[in-house]
Amino acid sequence: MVAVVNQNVINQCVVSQLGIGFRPELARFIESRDDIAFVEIIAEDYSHLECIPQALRDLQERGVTIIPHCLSLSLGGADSIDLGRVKHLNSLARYFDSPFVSDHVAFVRAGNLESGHLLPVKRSEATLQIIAENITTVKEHLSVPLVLENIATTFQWPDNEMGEVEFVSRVLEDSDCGLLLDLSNLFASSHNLGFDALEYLRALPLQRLKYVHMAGGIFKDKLYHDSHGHPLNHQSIALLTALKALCPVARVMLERDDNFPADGELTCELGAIANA
Amino acid sequence: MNPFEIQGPTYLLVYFAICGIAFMLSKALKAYLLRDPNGTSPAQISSIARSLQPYEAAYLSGGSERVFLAACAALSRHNLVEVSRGSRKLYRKLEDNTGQFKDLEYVEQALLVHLSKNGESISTSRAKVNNAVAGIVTVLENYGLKPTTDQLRLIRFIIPLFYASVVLFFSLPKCALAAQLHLPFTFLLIESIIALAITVKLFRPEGEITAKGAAVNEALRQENSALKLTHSTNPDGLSLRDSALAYGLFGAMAIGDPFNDAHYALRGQNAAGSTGSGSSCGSGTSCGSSCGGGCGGGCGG
Amino acid sequence: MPEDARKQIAQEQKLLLQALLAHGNTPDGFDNKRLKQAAQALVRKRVRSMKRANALVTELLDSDLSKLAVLHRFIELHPSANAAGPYADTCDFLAFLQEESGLIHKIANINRSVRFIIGQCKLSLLTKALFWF
Repeated sequence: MVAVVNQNVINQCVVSQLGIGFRPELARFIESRDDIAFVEIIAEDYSHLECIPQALRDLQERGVTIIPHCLSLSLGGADSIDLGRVKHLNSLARYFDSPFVSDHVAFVRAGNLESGHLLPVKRSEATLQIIAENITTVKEHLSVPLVLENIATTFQWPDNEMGEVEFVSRVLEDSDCGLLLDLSNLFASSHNLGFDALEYLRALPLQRLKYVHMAGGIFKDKLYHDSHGHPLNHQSIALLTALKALCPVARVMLERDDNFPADGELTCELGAIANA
Repeated sequence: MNPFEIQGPTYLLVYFAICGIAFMLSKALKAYLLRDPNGTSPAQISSIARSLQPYEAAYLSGGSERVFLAACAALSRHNLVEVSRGSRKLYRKLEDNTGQFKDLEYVEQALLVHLSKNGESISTSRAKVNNAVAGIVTVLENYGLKPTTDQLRLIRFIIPLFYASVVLFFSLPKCALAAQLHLPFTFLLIESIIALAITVKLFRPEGEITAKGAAVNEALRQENSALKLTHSTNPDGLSLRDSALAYGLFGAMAIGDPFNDAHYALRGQNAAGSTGSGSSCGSGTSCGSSCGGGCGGGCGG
Repeated sequence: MPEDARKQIAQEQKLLLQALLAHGNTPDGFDNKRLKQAAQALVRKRVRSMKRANALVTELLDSDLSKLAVLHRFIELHPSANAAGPYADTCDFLAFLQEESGLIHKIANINRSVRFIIGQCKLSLLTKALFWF
């Protein structure tokens, strides 16, 4: 009983800001919600500042925080960092006066091949060093802090020298970056790779947590795919509840990239996140 | 007979300048007649904008033709009406068995009642919608967004009359004299005909809105930029009301709906689309669609 | 970090991408089945991203399912996505479609329609500018 009370006290004390991934398809829905405190934009969607839609500027005027989120820096890649992408990310951060920007602990290109998606890196000391060097390069061209996100994956490299959580923690410590914790990615990877998501949570340097991603996915061929096009699953919400018991969660947001549902379904999902 | 003693090409230039000045004066007079005498505050403008219904906003944005397009396109988008590009006919897709049509806007009801499953022509359907917009016009007049009958009379007759008088006063006597003296006057005649064509354009049959109406229209477009964005990317996710408002305010092209059947069919006569960009690579823009993925996984069945 | 070590990892990542995107051999130690599933997922994501990035691609694919096969052939022949993003990828695909599938006229018609509409809009704007300003 005491434990339950403590849990409730923690939840009541920590009021998370609610956010959502800004997509043109959701602009009308987002505009209609007064409780959205921040939105995250995909940096690659706005290749020039002139491309920023009026709806986004309206949100900024309303006081909604806008966080640029990048998919293509390839921080885990052994190829050199494309500084043009970093500068573009920084220009968005300056335009929106964003508190920070984010990308992933992943790679997306190698040689002349572009995957179009986030792929896991080999968890080794050598990779840690590459990522640290890449992040140092990126930070030199950023005027705001960089926050790093864990990815979802269906496979892993052989001969990994350390576990997923140790690797992510080392990246964060080595580069002194904030954490963007994607709980749905965590659930997907824990299911697909067979590790305990709660243990992962407890082992993370949660004092670095800046915000949390939540998204829906789908089971297919015994794997869980973090599709962002399906309803939020209860496992991710349970992880959010567990996380809130471990540390203050300043910001939580919903991501939806496909199969955009009716407003009612999104409202339910945001409610579930807010009340987790 | 030549008061300024100006000859040939010089007179053509002077005449062109006179027409230009007369045009500007006509425009100034028109703007004066359509001004907002009370100087409505931005807050009041915004309040009026929010109180308008979708088809009232559509009329404000593009007259009765825009209302017709909005009704056709929105009902078509929600599978209540089918628009045939080829035959340019409108078909009702559902019978009103459950009384659901009662919840629709008056314009939509008028259109649906008129239509049958065998199809009706666009012209008769347009006429039905035109009849149904009378109530909308009254609402807009009451708000001061549309000119009153007296204002309209002045705009439609007095201003063009003034402009035509100037145009003819400086060209007819000169042409007549030139004809008597067997001098060339073709260019002057062409110039005056063009000027008169402009006069005809000044007799716009409808679509006039006051300065206050223009301000409300602009406020509506500003406040619904998110609707425009969502309609251009996820039109099926919007309610019928929002669809009608989007089509009504922005037209089919501006909300990235160039393939809309209604737009195609109606394009034959007075297409109501306004502006926008196509989606082909030829447009040369990389705005808005450089990334289509997000960071979600590549599954989804 | 020594340049050799970076090159070594770059090579490993390149081999993995070749396996995932270009039917390369599965690198030693990887779970072959998982990589195949991941490769399929990457194709699905690429198709979805392209459809979302360009309305014309969606229109083409929705109006004729056979064009989906052309899109998959395009991906087979162009395993790397365009680094500039899905929109640039769709432009590559449309060029490929025009060249490869014999649908030049259809594409041209659609492009003409779009250009015609844009032209009309520009004309309308010009007219407005002329008469009202």
